[in-house]
Amino acid sequence: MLMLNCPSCGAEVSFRSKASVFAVCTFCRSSLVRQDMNLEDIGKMSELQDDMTPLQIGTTGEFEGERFEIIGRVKIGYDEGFWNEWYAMFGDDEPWWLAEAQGFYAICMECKSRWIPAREKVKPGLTVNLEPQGKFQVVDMKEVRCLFSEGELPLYATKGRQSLSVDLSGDKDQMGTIEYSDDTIRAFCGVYQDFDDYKFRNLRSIDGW
Amino acid sequence: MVKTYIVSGTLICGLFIYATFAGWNFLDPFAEAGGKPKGPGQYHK
Amino acid sequence: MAGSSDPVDPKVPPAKPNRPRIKTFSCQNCGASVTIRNAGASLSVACESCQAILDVTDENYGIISKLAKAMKDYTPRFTLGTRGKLFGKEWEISGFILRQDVGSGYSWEEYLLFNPYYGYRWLLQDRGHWNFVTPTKRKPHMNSATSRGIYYLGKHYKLFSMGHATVRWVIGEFYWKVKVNRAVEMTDYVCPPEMLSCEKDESEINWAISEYVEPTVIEKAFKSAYPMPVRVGIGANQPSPAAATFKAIVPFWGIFLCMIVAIQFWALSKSSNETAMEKTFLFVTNAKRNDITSPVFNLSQDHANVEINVRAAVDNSWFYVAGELVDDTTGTSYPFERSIEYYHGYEGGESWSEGSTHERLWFSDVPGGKYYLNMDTESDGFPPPQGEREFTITVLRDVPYWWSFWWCALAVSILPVWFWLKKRTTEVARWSNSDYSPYVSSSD
Repeated sequence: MLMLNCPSCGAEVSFRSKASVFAVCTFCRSSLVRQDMNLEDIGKMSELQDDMTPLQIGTTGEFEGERFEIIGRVKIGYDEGFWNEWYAMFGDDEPWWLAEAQGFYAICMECKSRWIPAREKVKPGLTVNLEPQGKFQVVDMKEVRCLFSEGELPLYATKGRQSLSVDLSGDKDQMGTIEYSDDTIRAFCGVYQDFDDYKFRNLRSIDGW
Repeated sequence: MVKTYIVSGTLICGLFIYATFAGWNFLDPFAEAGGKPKGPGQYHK
Repeated sequence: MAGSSDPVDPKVPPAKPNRPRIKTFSCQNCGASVTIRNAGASLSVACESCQAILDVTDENYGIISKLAKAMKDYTPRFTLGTRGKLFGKEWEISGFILRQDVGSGYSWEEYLLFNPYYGYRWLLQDRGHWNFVTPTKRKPHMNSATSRGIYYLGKHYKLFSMGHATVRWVIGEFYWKVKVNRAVEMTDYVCPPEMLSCEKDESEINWAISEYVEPTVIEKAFKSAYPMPVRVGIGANQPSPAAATFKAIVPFWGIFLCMIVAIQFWALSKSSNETAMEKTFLFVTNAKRNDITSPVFNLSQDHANVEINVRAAVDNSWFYVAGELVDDTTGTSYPFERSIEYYHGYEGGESWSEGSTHERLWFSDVPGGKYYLNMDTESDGFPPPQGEREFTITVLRDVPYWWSFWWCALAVSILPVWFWLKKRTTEVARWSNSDYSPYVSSSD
């Protein structure tokens, strides 16, 4: 665990994952970019006004017998809505993501496949080969942008950062995503799991629930 | 309903077993009632 | 607390608000006041007064869509915000849509249920039948789809209906930006008590799995100012109680039939079928003869049946015998009468025959002992020469008998057959609401 000081307010900013290169100071909400031991302040992150997610930084959950802890979040928005991507840390440093929207919780990790199609080739119905995870079908494509970030993250989740997000569906509960942004193309695959199966602890308290 | 059926079915089977031992014959619906002769022309035409 | 400068404890981050904000604003379409309860989750809200759909994510709450022809006021069964517990989880009524099938004009109610942990569900009400609907990300196997059904999680769902649905009236908050004037393509597949539904519009395909719920369960869960609507007909995915009973009964039916068959085979094998007496007597043609008595014979065993065979050589004539089987010791008598008639001829190029030269009768449960027969005979139609002719009586003891078996097999089958018929009429009634009924021939 790495502890650095926020260049804006001096508070301690922790980096629990070696892969985290971005964090939002919990005290002054400055967006901080990390380079080795240096932190650079690149602006203030806006406040999140209305939030009904049951998850929060510090929530722990279980997947395939192992527990993970949520250490960061990105709220992704598009024309027709939004969802949350929670940065989940298991014991090792492989970053996992927990995508949460409307009561659906999908846990996935980056999938380095040779057969990720080029951006121009993608359209709904296209079969995408993400072996060894399997074959998937493109469900839809959306232009998305970051609305909000908090905690620590393995990418520069600055507000307004844009990309093309492609949703994939596979056999049974399998799901996938391909993210096309200016600097990278990344594919993720994982599964949907029911809320109860995650055995979440330290959930955010929601007034009235 | 299922219980009703199990009970009644068991009773019917029990009755059948008893009837077989006791030499009962249940009614043959096609049996001749017996009676005075009817003459030809009863069964066809 | 303006101007205060409490020292901030460096170890404790500032508290986050966890109360869902209740927001109120003016409807851009009609100016009425609009309230949002779950601003963090809802994306659109319908104005109570004009049913315009307003964008919750827009700081100006712009209009997303509005009904071209707004129906007059409709009163949903449950008020928005009502909470209830269904299947172990608490749900809040977030929104309501009255939908209509374009083709048939037929409408139904949809209540949106919200829970911040579990997301969204729907309660559908259609002619008094309730369904609890869960959206799912799993897609059924379209590869194995036939024209009449699909497979999902190992179960086969039969195609029940296809149509286009529009919105007639709407109120409340929703998790998507509702476009009220668009028709969506809807397909339903049933496997009672479940139903698999697919909704398709230009941009997405959504699947949901429904489970039939008894109205009493809904009534207990959610308080309503109105009584539950009376059910009409059989719901598309309503489980058939007759089917469940039939399924439970069938194994026992099988057991009972096997038992009865086994007992009958045993009875057949143990029946001694012995001839107690066989004798030929004489009757007079075209005349009566009375008091023909047989010698005394023995009926063995104590509880067994008796079969009497009568044979006479009649040929376009008849022979009639009325007699009694008499217990020599007690005098108990078992009366009987039989006609032996046999006719035959050649008419219009065809031979015909009628009757038989022998007849049988049975007595049930005759005690063992010494018996004789006492008989009166009559006959007519015999050609000359007149005189004495023979008839034969055979008395058999403990013969195999089938009618007890058939009656018991029938008795044991009454309820199963009745439930099978009830199950079938339920299915016919269920599918009478579908264009894809397997009970109606499609080639009309």
